[in-house]
Amino acid sequence: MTQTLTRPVATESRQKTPPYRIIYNWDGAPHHYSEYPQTTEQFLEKTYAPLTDTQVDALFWSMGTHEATWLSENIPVAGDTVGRVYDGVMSMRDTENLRAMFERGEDPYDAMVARGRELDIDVWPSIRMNDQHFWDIDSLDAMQKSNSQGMTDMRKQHPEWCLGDDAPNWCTSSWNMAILEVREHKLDLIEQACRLADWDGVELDWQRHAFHLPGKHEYRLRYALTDLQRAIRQMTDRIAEERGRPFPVAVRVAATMEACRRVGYDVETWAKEGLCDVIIGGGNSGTDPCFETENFLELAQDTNIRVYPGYDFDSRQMAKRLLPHSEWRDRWYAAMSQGHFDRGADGIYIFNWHAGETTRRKSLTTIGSPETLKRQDKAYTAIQRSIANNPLREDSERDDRLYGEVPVTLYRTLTGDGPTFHVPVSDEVDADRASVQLLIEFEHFSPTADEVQVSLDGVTLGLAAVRNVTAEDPTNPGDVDENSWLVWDMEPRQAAKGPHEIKVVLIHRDPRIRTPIVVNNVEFWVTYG
Amino acid sequence: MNPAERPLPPDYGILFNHDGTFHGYSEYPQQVDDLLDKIYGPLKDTQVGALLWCVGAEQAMWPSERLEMIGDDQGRRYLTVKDMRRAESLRTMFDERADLYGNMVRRGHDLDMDVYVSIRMNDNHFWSDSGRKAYPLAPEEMAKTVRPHLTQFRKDHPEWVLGIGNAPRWAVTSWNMANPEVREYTLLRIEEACRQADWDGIEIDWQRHAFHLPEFDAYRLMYTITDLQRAIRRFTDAIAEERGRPFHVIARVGASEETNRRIGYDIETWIKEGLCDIIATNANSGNDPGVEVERYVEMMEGTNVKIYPGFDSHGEFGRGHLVPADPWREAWFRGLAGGYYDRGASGVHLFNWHNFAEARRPLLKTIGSPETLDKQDKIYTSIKRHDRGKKELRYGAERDDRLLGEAPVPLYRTLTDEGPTFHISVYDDIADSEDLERVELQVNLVQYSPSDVLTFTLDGRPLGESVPSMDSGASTNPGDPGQLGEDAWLVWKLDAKQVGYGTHEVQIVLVQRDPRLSVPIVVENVELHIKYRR
Repeated sequence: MTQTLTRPVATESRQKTPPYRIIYNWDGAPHHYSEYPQTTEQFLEKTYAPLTDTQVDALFWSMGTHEATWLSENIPVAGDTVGRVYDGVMSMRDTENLRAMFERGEDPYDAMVARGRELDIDVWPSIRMNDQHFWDIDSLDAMQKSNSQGMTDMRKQHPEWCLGDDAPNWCTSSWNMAILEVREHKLDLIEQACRLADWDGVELDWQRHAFHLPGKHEYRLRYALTDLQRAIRQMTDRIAEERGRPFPVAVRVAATMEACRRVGYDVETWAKEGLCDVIIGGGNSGTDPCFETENFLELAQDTNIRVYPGYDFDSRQMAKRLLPHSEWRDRWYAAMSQGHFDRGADGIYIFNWHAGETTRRKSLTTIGSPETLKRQDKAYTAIQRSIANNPLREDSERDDRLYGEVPVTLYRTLTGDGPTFHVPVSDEVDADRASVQLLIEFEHFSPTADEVQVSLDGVTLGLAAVRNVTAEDPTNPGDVDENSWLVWDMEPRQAAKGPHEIKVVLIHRDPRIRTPIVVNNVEFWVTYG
Repeated sequence: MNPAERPLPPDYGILFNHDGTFHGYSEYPQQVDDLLDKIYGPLKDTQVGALLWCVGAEQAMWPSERLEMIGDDQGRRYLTVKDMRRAESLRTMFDERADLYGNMVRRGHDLDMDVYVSIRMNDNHFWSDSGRKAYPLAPEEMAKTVRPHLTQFRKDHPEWVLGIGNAPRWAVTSWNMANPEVREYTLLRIEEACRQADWDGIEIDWQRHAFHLPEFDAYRLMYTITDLQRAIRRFTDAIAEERGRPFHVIARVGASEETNRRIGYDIETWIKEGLCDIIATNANSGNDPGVEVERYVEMMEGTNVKIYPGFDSHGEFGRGHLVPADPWREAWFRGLAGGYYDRGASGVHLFNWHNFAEARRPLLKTIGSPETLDKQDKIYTSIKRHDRGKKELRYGAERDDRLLGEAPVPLYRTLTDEGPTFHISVYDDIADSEDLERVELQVNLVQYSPSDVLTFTLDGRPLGESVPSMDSGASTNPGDPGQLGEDAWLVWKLDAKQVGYGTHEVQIVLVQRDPRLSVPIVVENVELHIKYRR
């Protein structure tokens, strides 16, 4: 039997969201930053401390994912799944501080929005669409026996609604979004969250975590994710209609079109149908510098959708560098931001930075605008893709940093060739009188016997300075290290604004070492006096 | 040499890859003429413009001073008569100085066919032997196995194969091409093969099998595969220089840019540097209809490199349709070929068709040119992606194949009255054709009950009632007394104007599922059938 159905078409033009310089996603941690019972004022101070007097124009507040962080009538409230008896004092504080606010008759969300208004910061709830922190559960049987906080009866009673064996081991108990009942549950939870306060919009954090559909079926089942996205949009449109002002929707998706297809995000349709107002790109695990700004802007063409590259944590990029990691990190985020703004991004999105009143302020006061990035020191780098060897999070980087060029093993070739690294520079280094260095980190490098040839944009570079962290650490008696950096001082014209190709060829390997050399990092450092 | 200045490869129409197994198709001792008759018989008077003769994967199919020859691995005492015939017939030809490959080239030229030597770059048929049907070979087990074609060189170097965790389990004994010693060894094999006859060129078959680098490192290590491709090109250029005529290079790679990137083929560089003259495509396993012809053509602009999308022999395609398997498959290939030509392909590549070549002569006479495809019946389909189960021996073989497959897909109820959309591109301009007999949309639903309520739209317009065709394969199998199967086909007879040239969207929405069934409906196939009057 067949039936005729008319498909609704969204034709209305939507209002553009405000031009946020920086969007700051908070995962909810400030609830456990004070001793029990935390006052609402203490909570607000902790929440806004890193944001005050910065370029953060919007706070995206994570509302959790499994239990309701409000007094819901049909969804277990935070703490219910463990009978309000916790595994640790941090968990107790995190949950009971929140519950105590409600028990005292206070409303932390109204207060959060009000404080945001005072600080000129918009406030959006953020929903993690399929958060998976049940690391130790690698089977559906284990899930049903689990006493983990957040493991609701609904999930335990419906193992057939979870991904099971069709996902990496740590995502066994993630919801299978192809199942209608799962989508209905998520829609209900999101609608309840949206109606808690006079929010400025809602973020759907699809990247936390990015395993929603059975493996290898993601592309063909993408209609199921689009269905939920569309249903949420219809719901937020109703709220907008009721309150007489827009209720915009942000989505956090993968950094590349390829990864979006692989996860099941039909972002083309989302843009075409106007199912979101803001697109944010990020990795499933850690910062993904591959964000395809141009491709997402192309999708957003002729719409009012804004496009934001997202930054997560940076521990994967840690290395034995010749300056402290925190300083390098500021340079790295500044360089990426400069690049994204040059390519047309609307602003920058921050995830899981867990900043305080004094930490990360340099970045939070500069990376939100091209003007404040001018003459800031930067580190432009080849994209790094590291695959962690953590059996509890197998495949978590599967769709992240797909175009990573380092680290790469430097093998001998038959044709005198080697790997090529692409490092774009977005500073006008010549006009701004910057000094520029090219730095390449080699692991297992033997400086007196290994011979490598390095070329920049097809021109062979001369001798480099050989440096290492040990020699430059006054507290370390050694002069040498397993890793060495080759460093060249560049003429500004050599590192002019634009793309650059660095090729490394192994000419001769120290025969006393059987381990191959690995090119760990390739970077331009731009430094202003 | 500037890639734009390289000699243009001939227009071949059809490239026909032969896996070389015909050595085992005659009683020992096979005669060269007998072999050549078997090879060329079905190809004569067809559109096949070049034979690509596979000379094996690793062992030399010729006497070699530096490589193991076929049969050496088993001390010339074989596990099967077939293996004995294959190896010993070949060895005897060389013992008798029968000039096998020279005669093969000459016979091809007599038939107006070019003849290329084809090299499988990383063929892996070592996944199991008679005692190991259940679980594939591990690198550390190689030394002890007597599996044919597993050379001592490989057994001696388990550290040079991909290893567990770096590839699908069955492919972990494949060479890791990042190792320079493996590349040197492969180049040696290729050099010796190229020198066996006055071939017209060489096919570098990277897709047999397409696991060359550790999975997560393939993109960054692709310089190593390019290194080998470049070394081969230098070598073939040297042959061309010596003999004063081109020695063309065909590279067989994946269908899509994403596939190539994931395997480690830097096609853009290969084209830019002129490292091949022809690019043929296909899946690692079976047919991949998702060939990004336009993207290839874009990369080839300003060069003389040509694109030949490929067809495998894969038996599973064709079964389980309303049309019997053979005519279904033929019409499907015609549809695909017609589309490839319209989008800029120069010809098509056939892989593993040798066992069915005689039966497929009608196709060999039509799919090599757009002219002979005109007004031929065709079937255009949504891309289907099938993946074998985790417990199957070759699980993961389809990892990088048919990435944008839209079917099969379970049909779940939605919150917004939408459903999956299937894309079918039609390359026949039938809207005003007077030769058209009929056009049908056929949708195959598994676990469908007539009590289910579904809606169907074509290009946004609702389709009316379908012609119920609930019998699935039952009606095409006269021996089956049942009238109904677990699946059903819904068929719509369409007006030609509904199916113009271009891409069409078919959307299916589940409105209500028969409450007596706990399993979802699965949309298995979505097809447009175009039939012309005879």
